[in-house]
Amino acid sequence: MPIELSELDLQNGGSLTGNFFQLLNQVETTLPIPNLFIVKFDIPAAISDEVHDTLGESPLDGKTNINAAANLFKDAKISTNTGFALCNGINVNTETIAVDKVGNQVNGYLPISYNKNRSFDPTDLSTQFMENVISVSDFIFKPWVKMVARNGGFSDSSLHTDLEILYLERSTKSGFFNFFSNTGSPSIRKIYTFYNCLPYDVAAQGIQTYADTPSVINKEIKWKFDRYDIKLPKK
Amino acid sequence: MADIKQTIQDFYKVAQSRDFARKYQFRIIDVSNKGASVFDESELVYATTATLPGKTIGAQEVPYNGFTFRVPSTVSYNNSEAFNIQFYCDANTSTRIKMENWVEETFSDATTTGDGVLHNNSTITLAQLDTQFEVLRTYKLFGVFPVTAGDLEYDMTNAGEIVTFQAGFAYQFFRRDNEIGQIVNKVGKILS
Repeated sequence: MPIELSELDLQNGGSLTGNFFQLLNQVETTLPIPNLFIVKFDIPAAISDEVHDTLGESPLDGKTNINAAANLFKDAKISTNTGFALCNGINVNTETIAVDKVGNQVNGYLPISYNKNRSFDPTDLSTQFMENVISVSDFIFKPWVKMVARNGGFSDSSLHTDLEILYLERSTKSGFFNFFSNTGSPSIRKIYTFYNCLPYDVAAQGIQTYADTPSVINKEIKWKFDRYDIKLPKK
Repeated sequence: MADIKQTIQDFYKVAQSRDFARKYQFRIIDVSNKGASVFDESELVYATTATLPGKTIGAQEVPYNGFTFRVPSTVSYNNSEAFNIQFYCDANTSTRIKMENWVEETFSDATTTGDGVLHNNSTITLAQLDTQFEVLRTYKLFGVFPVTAGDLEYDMTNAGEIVTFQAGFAYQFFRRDNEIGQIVNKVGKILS
């Protein structure tokens, strides 16, 4: 019968390395693969030629053809159930309390730290989208940002969307957290949900030249949101 | 000695029952562009060498307390950017012409037109053969497109050596058909 490292370590009274190895033996505590995730959000119905035209900013109003792009990107293969497949990068917000200390010049006491306030930054969310022949950044996000700018982003809820990031993990362990309904799919290990999101920044294209070797073009989209939560899916 | 079944006699017994795979027991059955075969059998019979590609799981390093563990990471398909087939070049260079045409179809510098879309029915089918020349197992590469219509090397001082050329393809992934235990053929002894 083979002797496993963990058993050896336990026989020797246990060890730091052996304990860590045992963590790697369990699905719940082994390391996740960071590039397994999907992003889900709905493109608001207001992202349309009809609404865009009312901005009156361009002599080409009515010719932008946002509707064609919106219909394309609302297709089930690109968005909805399986996530927005063109989103290939995420950078979620931090959670911080601002802290400070009382200096040691106060009555000669040792310095102490104290909390000042929660530094909640509701603009600290970005996603990255790859460019396709029809550009999601140019035909969805840039018009969306223009509409948000015009409407202020407060009362006009028709421009808001909830954005969900599902972090996935391989698992064949039955009942390990939440599964998609069909078998053979990865597990969901955590879910970030950002509520009432509005895009506010579309990254610059950068200089493209004839000398460039073709490669995937990625565009960062920054979002602001009202609140967020993180869920551990139920077993 | 007791339990280890790896003596010379054990090796001999296993060799009798399981035989060995030979390097020539392999054929390219089909190369398809959008569902249509690119090469006919008279061209594929001139294929001389190819590699049955493998798969690789990355081993992610996890340093801990002066020791480095490794945990399995994601998968990749070996040489998916360059799956190469070596051909004898026929006198009319027809195989090479077909590769040139496929490359041209993918990107034409003359007209700046081409085909940048992946096609699931652009495939390469590979077969492992048994000693009776029957197919043991097939592997199908999906999402194939051409990357190389290889050079033809001529030498006006050469004594008449046959010209060869390399056709190179990119692919996305492969799938395996016919698990060995499911095959019933004339060499059941090998498969049992």
